[in-house]
Amino acid sequence: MSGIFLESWARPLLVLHACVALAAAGATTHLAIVGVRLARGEAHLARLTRIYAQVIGATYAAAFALGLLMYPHYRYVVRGLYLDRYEPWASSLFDIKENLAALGLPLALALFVVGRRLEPERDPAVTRWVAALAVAVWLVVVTTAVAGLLVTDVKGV
Amino acid sequence: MSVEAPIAERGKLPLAVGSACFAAGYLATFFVSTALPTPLLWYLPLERRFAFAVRPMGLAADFYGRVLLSLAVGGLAAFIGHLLFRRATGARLERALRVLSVWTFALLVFTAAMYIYLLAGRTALPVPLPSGYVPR
Repeated sequence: MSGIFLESWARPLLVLHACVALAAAGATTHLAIVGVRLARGEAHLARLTRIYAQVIGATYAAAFALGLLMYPHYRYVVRGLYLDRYEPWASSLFDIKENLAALGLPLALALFVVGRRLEPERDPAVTRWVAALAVAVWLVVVTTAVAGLLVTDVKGV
Repeated sequence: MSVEAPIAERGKLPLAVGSACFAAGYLATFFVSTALPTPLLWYLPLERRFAFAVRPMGLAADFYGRVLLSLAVGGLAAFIGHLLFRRATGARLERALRVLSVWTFALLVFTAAMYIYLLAGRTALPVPLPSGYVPR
């Protein structure tokens, strides 16, 4: 033990982080499809869009927060001691994933705030904004999930 | 006589414009604080403490500080957007949303590309191994 914050919780936190990220990946995939169809005029999908926007806001924020909690352990034990020494490509890939997730955070929050109150019949411009956010957040979540799986395959905790 | 546009005409546009201001402000801060030397809150995992610096000595992570700073500036941008557009008509809000959307997605792509460029070519600096460490 090196006295790192939440070191003994690293494995359960990683499993929880992966489960929540999986839920976010599913919800963003659905909303990317539903959001684009809604922007093309299928107004009956409004309720589904409002639900997915809330699910994505909650799961993205939860996955991000869990990642922040695990980060001190990752930075020293996983990256500092192992990845930087034996698998530097995985270390770089993780940092790209981590920063991409941070770049997606304002988009997921915007999607949550605007999407949960969406009224497509009244606001076509807002519907297009929500559809664009949905596709962008989907791209971010899928890329970070795949990168996360690759890095965890090398060294998870 | 009030110059405020009727609520019905504006719908959820003020909320959408506020969210776009937040996203653009957050992403611009993330980009600028990476491109320029910016004092940030760093976490030192081995010492279990935070330090405010451009680059502290030893093992440290700037991630928390950069996200916090970006959230704060994004919130400020949303507030400024609210003040600027609180009396705007629906047409003006639609125009603002279009412009802010372009800025938001351009900043997203540009900042992500910058990180990929910087990190793909990074030279890793491993920390010294503690005695008895077994790689697995």
